[in-house]
Amino acid sequence: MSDESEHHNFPGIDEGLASDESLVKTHARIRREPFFTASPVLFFSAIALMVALVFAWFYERRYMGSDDPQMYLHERTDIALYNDWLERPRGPIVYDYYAIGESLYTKMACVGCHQANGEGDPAGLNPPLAGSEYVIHEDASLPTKILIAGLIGPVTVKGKEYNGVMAAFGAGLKDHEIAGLVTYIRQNWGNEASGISEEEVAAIRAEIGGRASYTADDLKEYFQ
Amino acid sequence: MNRGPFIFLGVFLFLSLTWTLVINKAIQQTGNLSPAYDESQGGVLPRGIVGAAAQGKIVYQELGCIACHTQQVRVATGSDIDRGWGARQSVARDYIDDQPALIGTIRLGPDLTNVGQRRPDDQWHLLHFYNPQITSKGTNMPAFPFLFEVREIVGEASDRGLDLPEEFAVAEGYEVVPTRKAEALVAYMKSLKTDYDLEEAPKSNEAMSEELTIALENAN
Amino acid sequence: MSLIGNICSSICHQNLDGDEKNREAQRAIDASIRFPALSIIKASMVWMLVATVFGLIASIKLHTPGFLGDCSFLTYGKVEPIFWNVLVYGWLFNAGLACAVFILARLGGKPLDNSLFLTIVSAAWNTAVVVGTIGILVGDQLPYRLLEFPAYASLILFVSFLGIGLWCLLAFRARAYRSTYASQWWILAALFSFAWIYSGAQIMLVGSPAQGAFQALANAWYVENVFGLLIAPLGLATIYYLIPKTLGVTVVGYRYTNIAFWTWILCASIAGAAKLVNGPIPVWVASTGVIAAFCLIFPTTVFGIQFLSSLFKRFSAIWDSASARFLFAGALLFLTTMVFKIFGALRMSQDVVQFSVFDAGVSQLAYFGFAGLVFSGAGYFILQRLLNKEIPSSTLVDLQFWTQLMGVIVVAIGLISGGIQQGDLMNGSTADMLAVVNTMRSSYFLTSMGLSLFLIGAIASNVTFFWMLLSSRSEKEASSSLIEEAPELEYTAS
Repeated sequence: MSDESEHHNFPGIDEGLASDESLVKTHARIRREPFFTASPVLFFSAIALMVALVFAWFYERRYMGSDDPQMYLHERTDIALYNDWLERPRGPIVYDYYAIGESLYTKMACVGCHQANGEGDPAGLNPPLAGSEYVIHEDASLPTKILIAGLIGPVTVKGKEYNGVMAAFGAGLKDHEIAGLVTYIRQNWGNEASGISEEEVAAIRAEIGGRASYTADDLKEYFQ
Repeated sequence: MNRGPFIFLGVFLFLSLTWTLVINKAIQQTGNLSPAYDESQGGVLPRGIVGAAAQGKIVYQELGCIACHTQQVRVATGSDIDRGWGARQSVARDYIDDQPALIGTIRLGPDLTNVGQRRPDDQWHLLHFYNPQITSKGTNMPAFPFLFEVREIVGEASDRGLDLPEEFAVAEGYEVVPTRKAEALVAYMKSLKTDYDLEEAPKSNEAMSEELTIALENAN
Repeated sequence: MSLIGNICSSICHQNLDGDEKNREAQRAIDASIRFPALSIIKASMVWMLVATVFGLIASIKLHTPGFLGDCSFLTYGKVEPIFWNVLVYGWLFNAGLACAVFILARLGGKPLDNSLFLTIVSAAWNTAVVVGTIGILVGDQLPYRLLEFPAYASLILFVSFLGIGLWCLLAFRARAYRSTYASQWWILAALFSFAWIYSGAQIMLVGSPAQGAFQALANAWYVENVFGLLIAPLGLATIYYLIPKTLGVTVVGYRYTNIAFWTWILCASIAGAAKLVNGPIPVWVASTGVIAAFCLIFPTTVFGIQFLSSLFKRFSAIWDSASARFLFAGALLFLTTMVFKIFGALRMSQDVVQFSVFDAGVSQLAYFGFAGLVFSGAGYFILQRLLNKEIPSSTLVDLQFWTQLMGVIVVAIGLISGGIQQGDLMNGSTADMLAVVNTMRSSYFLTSMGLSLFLIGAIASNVTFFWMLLSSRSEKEASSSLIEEAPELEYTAS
């Protein structure tokens, strides 16, 4: 069977030691044998099956305990702490005004006129917000009033004159949203001014009532 | 077992059984989430990414960044929070706007869920992509010089040129300028932050205990 | 001239003398599938080289990131997916298909038709793999593991698979024997499953994408099922066929293959969810996956005792045969892989190794070690019969066996122990990522060594194959009595 000149452990041909037909015939015979015989395969597999089932039982109890389809924690103690934390007594809402303003600046299309970099439109319609004396004025009520009631007519910002129309946003925005926008424009693009809170905006709103848009003249007292 | 149809039906039955009871059920239960709305955090959460950042996401896929980086924060194990990779567990709602969701499966490099918070500086990212050895000596992150252009300085140097340190500097009179792909990728990196809280997202046990204690104190 | 003549005679049916009835019938069967089976084997040989080369490039880039850094299209993020896709869809699928075709034909008992159809659809499959690889190189890859091929390639892949599946189904139905053997069930299961998991994954990820995090679930389900429901069944089919054929014993405890088969299908189909512990997926999904993965301990025990008992019954005969030694190594590596998969799926393991190279190591053990070696062994067995030629050089086969076996073991040690180390370091918060990379450098280097060894074996394998294919027939090989009539399988009811 093995060629002498080849490696002595290694014939040039792997002889087939069982015909294909006998494979199939043997299968047919084995099929008819009883399932439960004294076989090492059956014995060890039965043990393995029991190990698997016991594992499944305990694992399921420990790690699938919660009914909540959005439960991301698996340890019982962690889940208990998490539930307590979820139900903790909440204080008054604390707003992240800068983040609110940042997201509204795009959503309310401020970016369309004043640009994403706050530089406005040099052609003369839309004044910049970056470095603008109307924005970073010591008194935060100035930009707040403009945002609530709008501003029309010629206005001089950073030495240049602009003559556009700033719409009134007071009706469409809530107090905390106005506070957010004002905080954002006063603290972005290198501006370093104070923010403003929801309560202060409410006070300003109460003060000015429902009025027509401001003109630069109406606001000149801020610069005296 | 001697008949093809029997095997087919059996296999099909088992496959569809497990798929329906696990995968499909999971998707039905938790795979149809709507965004959350929280006034105090700026409205709709999660915040989507737009513009150059969205283009950068395509560059991220093109270069196969997902072969080394994940975008998920774990709380139950590991040290993701201690490493500053995030403040809370990443949950399903964080990814609802992501098509495709680049969650990742292996960390040969750091997790990128909050890289926009950790590294908000453009230059760092540009230098890192040009040659990672500049910012992180000894790393095995590949360099992407093909995302940059080495060109002759004509007139004034571009303000987009990279500030290369001495050992990596290019020849005199030349500058390295990022291409649009590099800038988009950097924009994408900067947009990666989960700096908002979601109610169902657990934080670390320490953080949750602390907040619970404070809340209970304030209530009394 | 004679080379062309030899190529032609190697693929055309030769009129050989002989008077043994069974051998004649077998020769007729082999002749009917010779052309497609040889094309598929040729493809798998080439893909074996390509896959190993890409794996080596990827591995080198992990410890020497500047390697081939000038080539923009060979950046790590492209080489890595190409490696896995070519490994699975190129090499292992073709090798497994060649075994499946041979086994279906032989266990069917009569010559098969439609060999041209099979050649065409398998060529289409391989074209799809080439197109997909180019797609990844130019940047069209999708971000899903093992599904990185862009849509234009994956569509051709799937359609050609339907053709392949159809051929195999027709081949099965055309069989002469009423009874079947375990190998045929495994092959059918592999074919049915792949059609389901591939189309399901493509729909859940590309067609009608699942929301966000559930794409990760669909991906993990698919990746684990490629092993558990495609490659492993083909490999197991081959083991069940080769044990009696090369060693002459019935598989010990064959009675229980039935139940192991069904439990394997059931558990393996959802074991993939275990990869997502601690992730943005609800906990019960991952836990179900872990339970399913652990329950694989039952079919693995059945297979383990069956294979080990059968192999050790005829231990000396293993070393007399080229195919049997690959079979032996492959079966042992299968059991090792399953031990790692089963215990690696537990939460206490995943907590450490989840995002490390551990999983890559276990996969390489599974694909290179188990599937690769088993298919290589079967390949020699099949080639001798399709070509009616001897193995030309036992030195080359020895070289291939030992380098491939050692290579796989070295790679596994590098990635598995390295992965555990890596996971440990990442879990402790003191080592920053650069420190982790530094510590891992030696493991990556070890992996590169292992893959280089494997590459040597792959080259040896290709040399042997093309030598066998293209050498002229010796007088002995030209006779039909080269391969003797196989005796009946010895079996005694215990």
